[in-house]
Parts: sequence; C-alpha cells; structure tokens
Amino acid sequence: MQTKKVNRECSFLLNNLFSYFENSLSSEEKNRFEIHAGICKECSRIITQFASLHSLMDSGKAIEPDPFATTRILEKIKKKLEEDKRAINPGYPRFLQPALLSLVIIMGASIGFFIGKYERSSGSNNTASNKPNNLELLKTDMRISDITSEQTTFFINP
Amino acid sequence: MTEQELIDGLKCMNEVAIGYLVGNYQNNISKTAYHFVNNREDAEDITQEVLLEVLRSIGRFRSNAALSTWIYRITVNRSLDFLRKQKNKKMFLRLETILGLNSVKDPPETLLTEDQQLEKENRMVLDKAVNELPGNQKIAFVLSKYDELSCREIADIMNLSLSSVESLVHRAKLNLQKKLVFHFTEYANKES
Repeated sequence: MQTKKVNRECSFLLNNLFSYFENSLSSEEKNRFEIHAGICKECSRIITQFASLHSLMDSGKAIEPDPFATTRILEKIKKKLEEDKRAINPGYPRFLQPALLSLVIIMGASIGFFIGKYERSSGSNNTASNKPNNLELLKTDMRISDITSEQTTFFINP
Repeated sequence: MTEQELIDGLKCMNEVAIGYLVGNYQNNISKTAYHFVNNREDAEDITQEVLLEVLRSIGRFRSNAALSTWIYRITVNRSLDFLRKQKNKKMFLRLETILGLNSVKDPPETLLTEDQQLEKENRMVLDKAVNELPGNQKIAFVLSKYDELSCREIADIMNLSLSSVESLVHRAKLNLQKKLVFHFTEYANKES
C-alpha cells in the first residue's frame, strides 16, 4: 500500500515538472509536489536535473545578438537585390532576347551552309586539275608522233 | 515608421524601409531560426534568406495578418526546409562514409571547464529532446517557450485554431518531460 502511494506521488511529480517550474500549479498541488520531493530521493534528483535544463531553456530565450550581424546581412541583401535587378533587366528590351537568339542560329546555319558549299566547290576543282587538259593531251600525242617518225627514219636509214 | 509605411516602402524597394526591416526584424528572425537549427551561422544564413523572401514577395502580402506574423511564418518554413536539407545531406554523408568515399574527421575538442562541459552536455540533451518532438509540437513549443509568443500569435503563424495550439503546446511539454525523465533515469542506471 505504501509503495503504491509512493508510485502515485512519483508519477504526479514527474508529470508536473513543467507546471511546477512555470508556476502554474495550484498552491495545494505545489504543496503536494514539494512534500514528495522532500521524501523521495530519486524524484529530488530528477528535479535537480530538470531544473538545470529548465534554466537552460530560459537562458536560450536571450541569445546575445551579434552587433555586426545587421550591417553584414544588410550588405548581403543589397548585393542579392542588385543581382536580381540585373537578371531581370539585362540592359536591352526583353523581346530582343528571342530575336537575338534566332539571329545567332540563322547566322550559324548560313556559315555552315557556305563552308559546306566552298568545300564542295574546291573539291571538284581539285579533281579537274588532276585530269590532263586537251592541250597537254595534244602535246603528248605530238611527242609520240615525233618518236615514231624518228624511229621510222631510224628503221629506214640504218 | 508605422507598419503600413514600412510595407509601402518595401514595395517601392525604398532603402530606408529595407534598413528598418533588417534592423528591427533581424534579431527576432535569427533567434527563432537558431532555436530550430541550433547553430548561429546557419541561423544567420536563414535570416538572410527570410529577409530576401520578404523583400521579393512583399507584393503578395495581404494586410489581413500582421507583418511580423507573416515574417515568423516564413522563418519557420525556411528553418524546417533547412533541417530537411540537412537531414538529407547527413544521410548522403553517412552513405559515403559507409562506402569509404569520405572519411569524417571529428573537430578538435576545445578545453572546457567542468561546468561548461556539463552545460554543453545538458544543451545537447535538451536540443535532442526538442528535435525529436513531432513537427507541429516542436514549432508550437519553440515559438511559445523560446520566442515567448502567445498561443493566439502562434495560431496565426501556424494557421491553426487557438485550442489546437494550446493542445499542441501542452502535449509538447508532456512529451518533452517524458523524454527528459527517461534520459535522467537511464543516466542514473548507467552511473550505478
């Protein structure tokens, strides 16, 4: 019976730690809390530990502000806003963007087309220069005919 | 400067209004963000992001809520986004460590006195317990306990009814109490 009562008091205390430290218990409940804390060693140990964490929560409320943070943040924000402005307004009317892009594509295609055409025409010129022309053919024929005439004379006048 | 003057100034990107916004709201934003992420540098980055978002979307701000409520809402959302990203980053880092692609080096420990060490440990226990609270309970608890906002203000920020917020704060305290008592008993068992 005694143990049961102690357990009940322990759970009352452990369930009301926040309320006790925030002063939201009634005077009757506060009394009950403190009486048990005075008797139970285990609960009193838990109260001490909880109190240190609770004071940490309170100290957490007041974090020392960094005196230079405002200037630093303001500078960074202004810089970012400038970047935003530059991205939105690049210095020429917005409708020119697709027009410029199309122009670049057309120019690229035309350059490619002309390069291809030039390559083809220079290629056909090369094959033409490899072939002997009619004048050269005529000269060769003449030379052959010369030899044959010389040979003919050689054979006639040995 | 009244709130309406500030809003009008921000809509015109008036430098004075921007300076007033940063000067008056930066500390509160930093404080709230810090209680979510538990790191000063990260809290400052979040503050900067929040203020930029305020300036970029001030045109969409409806005056049916206070400016501070709207700013708090953005701060909470940004802080939760940050925590989500950090969680994903940690997961990938752990995966990389398991696969041997990355070796995690512990930062060098600074010398602390016994009291400082104890405070550091207590802070870690508290932060862990608060971070383990379910999402809405954590938001309600942080805004109520650390930022000392009333349940009405929290209800406006979280878009919930007053009774829901009161219940969230109450359940958060009970949960936190349970977690801390469990930790203290475990700690005592280990000691003995």
